[in-house]
Amino acid sequence: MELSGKLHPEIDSGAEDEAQPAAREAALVAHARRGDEAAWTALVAAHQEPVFRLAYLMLGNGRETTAVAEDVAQEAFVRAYRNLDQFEDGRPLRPWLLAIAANLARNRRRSAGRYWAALRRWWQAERRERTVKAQSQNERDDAHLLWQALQRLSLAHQQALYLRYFLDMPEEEMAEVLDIAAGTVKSRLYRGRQALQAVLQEEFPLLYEEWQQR
Amino acid sequence: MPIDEQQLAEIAATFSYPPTPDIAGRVQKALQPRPARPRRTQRLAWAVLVLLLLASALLAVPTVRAALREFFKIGAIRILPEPALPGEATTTPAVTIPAADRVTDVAPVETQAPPSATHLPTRTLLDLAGATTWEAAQAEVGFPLRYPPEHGLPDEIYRQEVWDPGLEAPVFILVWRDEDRPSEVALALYQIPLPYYGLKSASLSAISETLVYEQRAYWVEGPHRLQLQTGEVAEWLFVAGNVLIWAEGEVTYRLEGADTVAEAVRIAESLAPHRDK
Repeated sequence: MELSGKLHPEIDSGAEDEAQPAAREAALVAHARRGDEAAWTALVAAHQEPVFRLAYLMLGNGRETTAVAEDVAQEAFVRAYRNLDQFEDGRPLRPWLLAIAANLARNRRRSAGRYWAALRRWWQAERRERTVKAQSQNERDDAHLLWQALQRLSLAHQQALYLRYFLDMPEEEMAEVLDIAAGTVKSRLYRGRQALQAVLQEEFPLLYEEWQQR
Repeated sequence: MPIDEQQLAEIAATFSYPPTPDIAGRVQKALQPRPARPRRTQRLAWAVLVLLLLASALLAVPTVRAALREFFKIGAIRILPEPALPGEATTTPAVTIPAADRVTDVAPVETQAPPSATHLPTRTLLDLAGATTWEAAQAEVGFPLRYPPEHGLPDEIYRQEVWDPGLEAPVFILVWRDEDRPSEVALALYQIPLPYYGLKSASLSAISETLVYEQRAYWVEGPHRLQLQTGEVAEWLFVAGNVLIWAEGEVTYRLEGADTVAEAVRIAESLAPHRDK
Protein backbone atom coordinates (compact mmCIF):
# COMPACT_ATOMS: atom_id res chain seq x y z
CA MET A 1 0.00 0.00 0.00
CA GLU A 2 1.21 3.42 -0.81
CA LEU A 3 -0.52 5.20 2.01
CA SER A 4 -1.24 4.50 5.62
CA GLY A 5 -4.70 4.67 7.07
CA LYS A 6 -3.65 7.86 8.78
CA LEU A 7 -3.60 9.72 5.53
CA HIS A 8 -6.96 8.35 4.42
CA PRO A 9 -8.59 7.24 7.67
CA GLU A 10 -11.81 6.05 6.03
CA ILE A 11 -9.89 2.98 4.87
CA ASP A 12 -9.50 1.91 8.45
CA SER A 13 -12.48 3.42 10.12
CA GLY A 14 -15.02 3.91 7.39
CA ALA A 15 -15.72 7.29 8.99
CA GLU A 16 -17.37 9.93 6.89
CA ASP A 17 -15.77 13.29 6.69
CA GLU A 18 -18.75 15.55 6.20
CA ALA A 19 -16.62 18.67 5.99
CA GLN A 20 -14.58 17.89 2.92
CA PRO A 21 -16.08 14.91 1.13
CA ALA A 22 -15.21 16.19 -2.34
CA ALA A 23 -11.63 17.03 -1.36
CA ARG A 24 -11.25 13.67 0.35
CA GLU A 25 -12.61 11.88 -2.69
CA ALA A 26 -10.25 13.79 -4.96
CA ALA A 27 -7.33 12.84 -2.71
CA LEU A 28 -8.34 9.18 -2.76
CA VAL A 29 -8.68 9.26 -6.52
CA ALA A 30 -5.21 10.76 -6.82
CA HIS A 31 -3.77 8.01 -4.63
CA ALA A 32 -5.68 5.31 -6.49
CA ARG A 33 -4.38 6.67 -9.75
CA ARG A 34 -0.86 6.07 -8.47
CA GLY A 35 -1.70 2.44 -7.80
CA ASP A 36 -2.95 2.64 -4.24
CA GLU A 37 -5.53 -0.13 -4.18
CA ALA A 38 -6.54 0.63 -0.61
CA ALA A 39 -7.55 4.13 -1.64
CA TRP A 40 -9.64 2.66 -4.41
CA THR A 41 -11.22 0.14 -2.05
CA ALA A 42 -12.31 3.02 0.17
CA LEU A 43 -13.93 4.69 -2.80
CA VAL A 44 -15.64 1.46 -3.79
CA ALA A 45 -17.05 1.13 -0.29
CA ALA A 46 -18.38 4.65 -0.48
CA HIS A 47 -20.11 4.18 -3.83
CA GLN A 48 -20.95 0.50 -4.01
CA GLU A 49 -24.56 0.85 -2.96
CA PRO A 50 -25.82 3.18 -5.71
CA VAL A 51 -23.73 1.35 -8.31
CA PHE A 52 -25.11 -2.02 -7.26
CA ARG A 53 -28.65 -0.70 -7.07
CA LEU A 54 -28.57 0.91 -10.49
CA ALA A 55 -27.19 -2.30 -12.00
CA TYR A 56 -29.88 -4.30 -10.21
CA LEU A 57 -32.66 -2.05 -11.48
CA MET A 58 -31.35 -1.98 -15.04
CA LEU A 59 -30.86 -5.73 -15.28
CA GLY A 60 -34.55 -6.32 -14.74
CA ASN A 61 -36.42 -8.97 -12.91
CA GLY A 62 -34.82 -12.39 -13.08
CA ARG A 63 -33.59 -15.28 -11.01
CA GLU A 64 -29.97 -14.26 -11.32
CA THR A 65 -30.41 -10.51 -11.12
CA THR A 66 -28.72 -10.06 -7.76
CA ALA A 67 -25.69 -12.13 -8.69
CA VAL A 68 -25.36 -10.49 -12.09
CA ALA A 69 -25.77 -7.03 -10.58
CA GLU A 70 -22.97 -7.86 -8.18
CA ASP A 71 -20.79 -8.94 -11.09
CA VAL A 72 -21.62 -5.80 -13.01
CA ALA A 73 -20.86 -3.58 -10.03
CA GLN A 74 -17.54 -5.32 -9.43
CA GLU A 75 -16.61 -5.08 -13.09
CA ALA A 76 -17.56 -1.41 -13.14
CA PHE A 77 -15.20 -0.64 -10.27
CA VAL A 78 -12.39 -2.74 -11.71
CA ARG A 79 -12.72 -1.07 -15.11
CA ALA A 80 -12.94 2.34 -13.54
CA TYR A 81 -9.76 1.68 -11.57
CA ARG A 82 -7.91 0.54 -14.67
CA ASN A 83 -9.10 3.58 -16.60
CA LEU A 84 -8.62 6.16 -13.91
CA ASP A 85 -6.32 8.09 -16.22
CA GLN A 86 -9.43 8.89 -18.26
CA PHE A 87 -11.25 10.33 -15.27
CA GLU A 88 -11.27 14.10 -15.22
CA ASP A 89 -9.75 15.61 -12.09
CA GLY A 90 -12.05 17.64 -9.92
CA ARG A 91 -15.21 15.92 -11.11
CA PRO A 92 -17.40 13.92 -8.73
CA LEU A 93 -16.71 10.22 -9.05
CA ARG A 94 -20.24 8.88 -8.66
CA PRO A 95 -21.63 9.95 -12.05
CA TRP A 96 -18.65 8.41 -13.83
CA LEU A 97 -19.00 5.15 -11.92
CA LEU A 98 -22.72 5.02 -12.55
CA ALA A 99 -22.20 5.67 -16.25
CA ILE A 100 -19.75 2.75 -16.47
CA ALA A 101 -22.07 0.50 -14.48
CA ALA A 102 -25.05 1.46 -16.63
CA ASN A 103 -23.05 0.73 -19.76
CA LEU A 104 -22.08 -2.69 -18.47
CA ALA A 105 -25.63 -3.43 -17.32
CA ARG A 106 -26.93 -2.51 -20.76
CA ASN A 107 -24.43 -4.88 -22.32
CA ARG A 108 -25.47 -7.66 -19.99
CA ARG A 109 -29.07 -7.03 -20.87
CA ARG A 110 -28.18 -7.22 -24.52
CA SER A 111 -26.31 -10.45 -24.11
CA ALA A 112 -29.36 -11.75 -22.31
CA GLY A 113 -31.38 -10.47 -25.23
CA ARG A 114 -31.48 -13.87 -26.87
CA TYR A 115 -33.67 -15.06 -24.09
CA TRP A 116 -35.71 -11.88 -23.99
CA ALA A 117 -36.27 -11.83 -27.71
CA ALA A 118 -37.73 -15.31 -27.50
CA LEU A 119 -39.99 -14.17 -24.73
CA ARG A 120 -40.99 -10.93 -26.36
CA ARG A 121 -43.77 -12.17 -28.59
CA TRP A 122 -45.02 -14.51 -25.95
CA TRP A 123 -45.02 -11.67 -23.47
CA GLN A 124 -46.85 -9.32 -25.78
CA ALA A 125 -49.49 -11.92 -26.53
CA GLU A 126 -50.16 -12.87 -22.95
CA ARG A 127 -49.08 -9.86 -20.93
CA ARG A 128 -52.58 -8.65 -20.23
CA GLU A 129 -53.66 -11.96 -18.73
CA ARG A 130 -50.50 -12.28 -16.65
CA THR A 131 -50.70 -8.71 -15.47
CA VAL A 132 -54.21 -9.12 -14.20
CA LYS A 133 -53.16 -12.28 -12.37
CA ALA A 134 -50.16 -10.54 -10.87
CA GLN A 135 -52.23 -7.61 -9.71
CA SER A 136 -54.84 -9.80 -8.09
CA GLN A 137 -52.31 -11.07 -5.60
CA ASN A 138 -52.95 -9.68 -2.17
CA GLU A 139 -49.29 -9.35 -1.38
CA ARG A 140 -48.72 -7.05 -4.31
CA ASP A 141 -45.92 -4.61 -3.81
CA ASP A 142 -46.52 -1.31 -5.57
CA ALA A 143 -42.84 -0.49 -5.87
CA HIS A 144 -42.12 -3.89 -7.37
CA LEU A 145 -45.00 -3.51 -9.81
CA LEU A 146 -43.69 -0.08 -10.71
CA TRP A 147 -40.33 -1.68 -11.49
CA GLN A 148 -42.05 -4.26 -13.66
CA ALA A 149 -43.86 -1.51 -15.52
CA LEU A 150 -40.63 0.43 -15.99
CA GLN A 151 -39.03 -2.59 -17.60
CA ARG A 152 -41.49 -2.17 -20.46
CA LEU A 153 -39.90 1.17 -21.35
CA SER A 154 -36.84 1.85 -23.46
CA LEU A 155 -33.53 1.52 -21.64
CA ALA A 156 -32.93 5.26 -21.99
CA HIS A 157 -36.19 6.08 -20.24
CA GLN A 158 -35.65 3.38 -17.65
CA GLN A 159 -32.21 4.66 -16.78
CA ALA A 160 -33.44 8.23 -16.41
CA LEU A 161 -36.37 7.26 -14.20
CA TYR A 162 -34.24 4.94 -12.05
CA LEU A 163 -31.66 7.64 -11.46
CA ARG A 164 -34.17 10.36 -10.64
CA TYR A 165 -36.83 8.55 -8.64
CA PHE A 166 -35.21 5.37 -7.35
CA LEU A 167 -31.75 6.72 -6.60
CA ASP A 168 -33.02 10.24 -5.88
CA MET A 169 -30.35 11.81 -8.04
CA PRO A 170 -30.40 15.53 -8.85
CA GLU A 171 -30.91 16.39 -12.48
CA GLU A 172 -27.49 18.04 -12.72
CA GLU A 173 -25.79 14.82 -11.71
CA MET A 174 -28.05 12.85 -14.02
CA ALA A 175 -26.82 14.97 -16.89
CA GLU A 176 -23.28 13.84 -16.12
CA VAL A 177 -24.21 10.18 -15.84
CA LEU A 178 -26.21 10.23 -19.05
CA ASP A 179 -23.78 12.59 -20.79
CA ILE A 180 -26.60 14.82 -21.97
CA ALA A 181 -27.58 18.44 -21.40
CA ALA A 182 -29.57 19.37 -18.31
CA GLY A 183 -32.49 20.38 -20.49
CA THR A 184 -32.43 17.01 -22.16
CA VAL A 185 -32.65 15.36 -18.75
CA LYS A 186 -35.92 17.18 -18.10
CA SER A 187 -37.39 16.22 -21.44
CA ARG A 188 -36.23 12.62 -21.07
CA LEU A 189 -37.84 12.39 -17.66
CA TYR A 190 -41.02 13.91 -19.02
CA ARG A 191 -41.20 11.51 -21.93
CA GLY A 192 -40.29 8.64 -19.63
CA ARG A 193 -43.16 9.46 -17.32
CA GLN A 194 -45.51 9.69 -20.28
CA ALA A 195 -44.38 6.29 -21.50
CA LEU A 196 -44.73 4.90 -17.99
CA GLN A 197 -48.23 6.25 -17.72
CA ALA A 198 -49.21 4.54 -20.97
CA VAL A 199 -47.80 1.24 -19.74
CA LEU A 200 -49.55 1.56 -16.40
CA GLN A 201 -52.86 2.35 -18.00
CA GLU A 202 -52.63 -0.52 -20.42
CA GLU A 203 -50.92 -3.25 -18.45
CA PHE A 204 -51.21 -2.31 -14.78
CA PRO A 205 -54.69 -0.77 -14.60
CA LEU A 206 -55.27 -1.64 -10.97
CA LEU A 207 -52.05 0.01 -9.88
CA TYR A 208 -52.80 3.01 -12.04
CA GLU A 209 -56.30 3.43 -10.61
CA GLU A 210 -54.93 3.14 -7.12
CA TRP A 211 -52.43 5.91 -7.86
CA GLN A 212 -55.15 8.13 -9.20
CA GLN A 213 -57.19 7.69 -6.04
CA ARG A 214 -54.38 8.57 -3.67
CA MET B 1 -54.26 12.67 -15.07
CA PRO B 2 -50.47 12.56 -15.59
CA ILE B 3 -48.25 10.70 -13.19
CA ASP B 4 -47.32 12.82 -10.22
CA GLU B 5 -43.56 13.07 -9.73
CA GLN B 6 -43.81 13.19 -5.97
CA GLN B 7 -45.98 10.10 -5.89
CA LEU B 8 -43.60 8.31 -8.22
CA ALA B 9 -40.66 9.19 -5.99
CA GLU B 10 -42.50 8.06 -2.87
CA ILE B 11 -43.34 4.67 -4.31
CA ALA B 12 -39.85 4.23 -5.75
CA ALA B 13 -38.40 5.02 -2.34
CA THR B 14 -40.15 1.97 -0.90
CA PHE B 15 -38.49 -0.36 -3.39
CA SER B 16 -36.97 -3.31 -1.62
CA TYR B 17 -33.43 -3.88 -2.89
CA PRO B 18 -31.43 -6.93 -1.99
CA PRO B 19 -28.70 -6.16 0.55
CA THR B 20 -25.71 -4.60 -1.12
CA PRO B 21 -22.98 -7.24 -1.24
CA ASP B 22 -19.41 -6.62 -0.21
CA ILE B 23 -18.34 -5.34 -3.59
CA ALA B 24 -15.37 -3.50 -2.10
CA GLY B 25 -14.00 -6.82 -0.88
CA ARG B 26 -14.53 -8.43 -4.26
CA VAL B 27 -12.87 -5.55 -6.06
CA GLN B 28 -9.94 -5.67 -3.68
CA LYS B 29 -9.48 -9.38 -4.40
CA ALA B 30 -9.84 -8.81 -8.13
CA LEU B 31 -7.16 -6.15 -8.08
CA GLN B 32 -4.64 -7.63 -5.71
CA PRO B 33 -3.47 -10.75 -7.58
CA ARG B 34 -2.85 -8.81 -10.72
CA PRO B 35 0.17 -6.64 -11.12
CA ALA B 36 -0.45 -3.26 -12.68
CA ARG B 37 -1.24 -3.76 -16.33
CA PRO B 38 1.37 -2.41 -18.66
CA ARG B 39 0.21 0.20 -21.07
CA ARG B 40 -1.27 -0.89 -24.35
CA THR B 41 1.75 0.20 -26.33
CA GLN B 42 4.03 -1.76 -24.03
CA ARG B 43 1.81 -4.81 -24.31
CA LEU B 44 1.79 -4.45 -28.08
CA ALA B 45 5.56 -4.13 -28.18
CA TRP B 46 5.96 -7.27 -26.11
CA ALA B 47 3.45 -9.13 -28.24
CA VAL B 48 5.29 -8.15 -31.42
CA LEU B 49 8.60 -9.20 -29.95
CA VAL B 50 7.23 -12.55 -28.86
CA LEU B 51 5.66 -13.11 -32.27
CA LEU B 52 8.89 -12.26 -34.04
CA LEU B 53 10.86 -14.65 -31.87
CA LEU B 54 8.26 -17.34 -32.34
CA ALA B 55 8.14 -16.81 -36.09
CA SER B 56 11.94 -16.91 -36.31
CA ALA B 57 12.04 -20.18 -34.41
CA LEU B 58 9.29 -21.71 -36.47
CA LEU B 59 10.78 -20.63 -39.77
CA ALA B 60 13.82 -22.72 -38.97
CA VAL B 61 11.71 -25.86 -39.24
CA PRO B 62 10.87 -26.76 -42.87
CA THR B 63 7.59 -28.49 -42.06
CA VAL B 64 6.46 -25.56 -40.06
CA ARG B 65 7.61 -23.15 -42.73
CA ALA B 66 5.27 -24.93 -45.14
CA ALA B 67 2.45 -24.35 -42.77
CA LEU B 68 2.84 -20.62 -42.88
CA ARG B 69 -0.23 -19.11 -44.35
CA GLU B 70 -1.42 -15.78 -45.50
CA PHE B 71 -4.60 -14.01 -44.73
CA PHE B 72 -6.69 -11.47 -46.49
CA LYS B 73 -7.36 -8.13 -44.95
CA ILE B 74 -10.28 -6.01 -45.95
CA GLY B 75 -11.39 -3.15 -43.78
CA ALA B 76 -11.97 -4.33 -40.26
CA ILE B 77 -12.05 -8.02 -41.15
CA ARG B 78 -9.26 -10.53 -41.74
CA ILE B 79 -9.92 -13.70 -43.68
CA LEU B 80 -7.70 -16.62 -42.86
CA PRO B 81 -7.80 -19.41 -45.44
CA GLU B 82 -7.80 -22.84 -43.93
CA PRO B 83 -8.05 -26.44 -45.16
CA ALA B 84 -11.41 -27.53 -46.49
CA LEU B 85 -14.04 -28.09 -43.87
CA PRO B 86 -15.13 -31.69 -43.29
CA GLY B 87 -17.30 -32.88 -46.16
CA GLU B 88 -16.32 -30.02 -48.38
CA ALA B 89 -14.85 -30.89 -51.75
CA THR B 90 -11.38 -29.58 -52.35
CA THR B 91 -11.34 -27.49 -55.49
CA THR B 92 -9.04 -25.11 -57.17
CA PRO B 93 -8.69 -21.97 -55.12
CA ALA B 94 -11.10 -19.37 -56.38
CA VAL B 95 -8.80 -16.52 -55.60
CA THR B 96 -5.21 -15.62 -55.15
CA ILE B 97 -4.29 -13.20 -52.46
CA PRO B 98 -3.48 -9.79 -53.88
CA ALA B 99 -0.19 -8.38 -52.77
CA ALA B 100 -1.90 -5.33 -51.29
CA ASP B 101 -3.99 -7.45 -48.95
CA ARG B 102 -1.38 -10.06 -48.19
CA VAL B 103 -0.19 -10.59 -44.68
CA THR B 104 1.89 -13.49 -43.54
CA ASP B 105 0.79 -15.21 -40.44
CA VAL B 106 1.68 -18.36 -38.58
CA ALA B 107 -0.99 -20.96 -39.05
CA PRO B 108 -2.75 -21.97 -35.87
CA VAL B 109 -1.68 -25.37 -34.61
CA GLU B 110 -5.27 -26.35 -33.95
CA THR B 111 -7.36 -26.30 -37.11
CA GLN B 112 -10.55 -27.83 -35.80
CA ALA B 113 -13.43 -25.64 -34.77
CA PRO B 114 -13.23 -24.92 -31.08
CA PRO B 115 -15.86 -26.59 -28.94
CA SER B 116 -17.40 -23.24 -28.10
CA ALA B 117 -18.39 -22.61 -31.71
CA THR B 118 -21.98 -21.51 -31.97
CA HIS B 119 -24.35 -20.85 -34.81
CA LEU B 120 -24.42 -17.87 -37.06
CA PRO B 121 -25.38 -14.85 -34.99
CA THR B 122 -27.81 -13.57 -37.52
CA ARG B 123 -29.42 -16.82 -38.53
CA THR B 124 -32.32 -16.26 -36.23
CA LEU B 125 -33.58 -13.24 -34.41
CA LEU B 126 -33.08 -15.09 -31.16
CA ASP B 127 -29.35 -14.64 -31.60
CA LEU B 128 -29.52 -10.87 -31.72
CA ALA B 129 -29.79 -8.35 -28.97
CA GLY B 130 -29.65 -4.60 -28.48
CA ALA B 131 -32.62 -3.63 -30.64
CA THR B 132 -32.66 0.04 -31.52
CA THR B 133 -34.17 2.38 -34.09
CA TRP B 134 -32.80 3.88 -37.27
CA GLU B 135 -32.90 7.35 -35.76
CA ALA B 136 -31.10 6.31 -32.59
CA ALA B 137 -28.50 4.36 -34.55
CA GLN B 138 -27.93 7.20 -37.00
CA ALA B 139 -27.52 9.65 -34.14
CA GLU B 140 -24.71 7.56 -32.74
CA VAL B 141 -22.48 7.15 -35.75
CA GLY B 142 -20.47 9.73 -37.62
CA PHE B 143 -21.34 8.44 -41.09
CA PRO B 144 -24.64 7.92 -42.91
CA LEU B 145 -26.10 4.50 -42.26
CA ARG B 146 -27.20 2.96 -45.54
CA TYR B 147 -29.72 0.37 -46.63
CA PRO B 148 -30.77 -1.27 -49.90
CA PRO B 149 -33.89 0.63 -51.06
CA GLU B 150 -35.27 -2.42 -52.84
CA HIS B 151 -35.57 -4.13 -49.46
CA GLY B 152 -36.91 -1.05 -47.71
CA LEU B 153 -35.79 0.02 -44.28
CA PRO B 154 -34.73 -2.89 -42.10
CA ASP B 155 -37.27 -4.68 -40.00
CA GLU B 156 -34.98 -4.34 -37.04
CA ILE B 157 -31.66 -2.76 -36.13
CA TYR B 158 -29.35 -4.16 -33.48
CA ARG B 159 -26.52 -2.37 -31.77
CA GLN B 160 -23.41 -4.35 -30.96
CA GLU B 161 -21.34 -2.78 -28.25
CA VAL B 162 -17.59 -2.85 -28.53
CA TRP B 163 -16.33 -1.78 -25.14
CA ASP B 164 -12.73 -0.98 -25.26
CA PRO B 165 -11.27 2.25 -23.96
CA GLY B 166 -10.64 4.51 -26.88
CA LEU B 167 -12.58 2.27 -29.22
CA GLU B 168 -16.21 2.68 -28.40
CA ALA B 169 -17.79 2.88 -31.82
CA PRO B 170 -20.78 0.57 -31.94
CA VAL B 171 -21.49 -1.84 -34.78
CA PHE B 172 -25.00 -1.76 -36.16
CA ILE B 173 -26.66 -4.79 -37.70
CA LEU B 174 -29.58 -4.11 -40.03
CA VAL B 175 -31.90 -7.07 -40.28
CA TRP B 176 -34.61 -8.00 -42.75
CA ARG B 177 -36.81 -10.87 -41.71
CA ASP B 178 -37.59 -13.89 -43.84
CA GLU B 179 -41.17 -13.37 -44.97
CA ASP B 180 -41.96 -17.07 -44.86
CA ARG B 181 -40.20 -17.66 -41.54
CA PRO B 182 -40.47 -14.37 -39.67
CA SER B 183 -38.36 -15.61 -36.79
CA GLU B 184 -35.41 -16.03 -39.15
CA VAL B 185 -33.22 -13.48 -40.85
CA ALA B 186 -33.30 -13.19 -44.64
CA LEU B 187 -30.66 -10.51 -44.94
CA ALA B 188 -28.31 -8.88 -42.46
CA LEU B 189 -26.05 -5.93 -43.12
CA TYR B 190 -23.30 -5.10 -40.64
CA GLN B 191 -21.93 -1.55 -40.71
CA ILE B 192 -18.62 -1.58 -38.90
CA PRO B 193 -16.80 1.70 -38.22
CA LEU B 194 -13.86 0.00 -36.53
CA PRO B 195 -10.23 -0.66 -37.44
CA TYR B 196 -10.61 -4.28 -36.35
CA TYR B 197 -13.71 -6.35 -35.92
CA GLY B 198 -13.19 -10.01 -36.59
CA LEU B 199 -11.23 -12.81 -38.15
CA LYS B 200 -12.88 -15.13 -40.62
CA SER B 201 -11.51 -18.57 -41.17
CA ALA B 202 -12.68 -20.16 -44.39
CA SER B 203 -11.62 -22.70 -46.96
CA LEU B 204 -9.55 -21.01 -49.66
CA SER B 205 -11.88 -22.49 -52.26
CA ALA B 206 -14.79 -20.73 -50.59
CA ILE B 207 -13.22 -17.29 -50.91
CA SER B 208 -13.54 -15.34 -54.11
CA GLU B 209 -12.62 -11.86 -55.06
CA THR B 210 -15.14 -9.49 -56.53
CA LEU B 211 -15.71 -5.76 -56.93
CA VAL B 212 -18.06 -3.36 -55.21
CA TYR B 213 -17.97 0.03 -56.86
CA GLU B 214 -14.77 -1.14 -58.53
CA GLN B 215 -13.10 -1.68 -55.19
CA ARG B 216 -11.90 -5.07 -54.05
CA ALA B 217 -14.39 -7.10 -52.04
CA TYR B 218 -14.48 -10.69 -50.87
CA TRP B 219 -17.25 -13.19 -51.18
CA VAL B 220 -17.12 -16.06 -48.70
CA GLU B 221 -19.44 -18.81 -49.74
CA GLY B 222 -20.76 -21.52 -47.52
CA PRO B 223 -19.79 -22.48 -44.00
CA HIS B 224 -16.92 -20.71 -42.32
CA ARG B 225 -15.87 -19.55 -38.92
CA LEU B 226 -15.86 -16.01 -37.61
CA GLN B 227 -13.89 -14.88 -34.61
CA LEU B 228 -15.22 -11.75 -33.00
CA GLN B 229 -13.03 -9.73 -30.72
CA THR B 230 -14.86 -7.67 -28.15
CA GLY B 231 -12.53 -6.04 -25.70
CA GLU B 232 -10.36 -8.82 -24.41
CA VAL B 233 -12.78 -11.59 -25.29
CA ALA B 234 -12.53 -13.55 -28.53
CA GLU B 235 -15.41 -15.75 -29.54
CA TRP B 236 -15.57 -18.15 -32.44
CA LEU B 237 -18.87 -18.35 -34.27
CA PHE B 238 -19.88 -20.78 -36.96
CA VAL B 239 -21.34 -18.99 -39.98
CA ALA B 240 -23.42 -21.17 -42.27
CA GLY B 241 -24.28 -18.67 -44.97
CA ASN B 242 -22.70 -16.57 -47.68
CA VAL B 243 -21.08 -13.29 -46.83
CA LEU B 244 -19.87 -10.33 -48.89
CA ILE B 245 -17.31 -8.07 -47.26
CA TRP B 246 -16.16 -4.73 -48.54
CA ALA B 247 -14.94 -1.45 -47.16
CA GLU B 248 -15.72 2.13 -48.03
CA GLY B 249 -13.65 4.73 -46.25
CA GLU B 250 -13.41 3.79 -42.60
CA VAL B 251 -16.53 1.68 -42.65
CA THR B 252 -16.48 -2.03 -43.34
CA TYR B 253 -19.66 -3.66 -44.58
CA ARG B 254 -20.58 -7.27 -44.09
CA LEU B 255 -23.63 -8.48 -45.98
CA GLU B 256 -24.99 -11.84 -45.02
CA GLY B 257 -27.79 -13.76 -46.69
CA ALA B 258 -27.49 -13.16 -50.43
CA ASP B 259 -27.72 -16.35 -52.48
CA THR B 260 -25.17 -15.40 -55.11
CA VAL B 261 -22.23 -13.07 -55.39
CA ALA B 262 -24.02 -11.17 -58.16
CA GLU B 263 -27.01 -10.56 -55.93
CA ALA B 264 -24.76 -9.53 -53.05
CA VAL B 265 -22.83 -7.05 -55.18
CA ARG B 266 -26.04 -5.64 -56.60
CA ILE B 267 -27.36 -5.09 -53.08
CA ALA B 268 -24.03 -3.63 -51.96
CA GLU B 269 -23.97 -1.14 -54.81
CA SER B 270 -27.57 -0.12 -54.22
CA LEU B 271 -27.02 1.00 -50.64
CA ALA B 272 -28.30 4.48 -49.96
CA PRO B 273 -28.78 6.64 -46.90
CA HIS B 274 -32.26 7.11 -45.59
CA ARG B 275 -33.71 10.56 -46.06
CA ASP B 276 -36.79 11.58 -44.14
CA LYS B 277 -39.48 12.97 -46.41
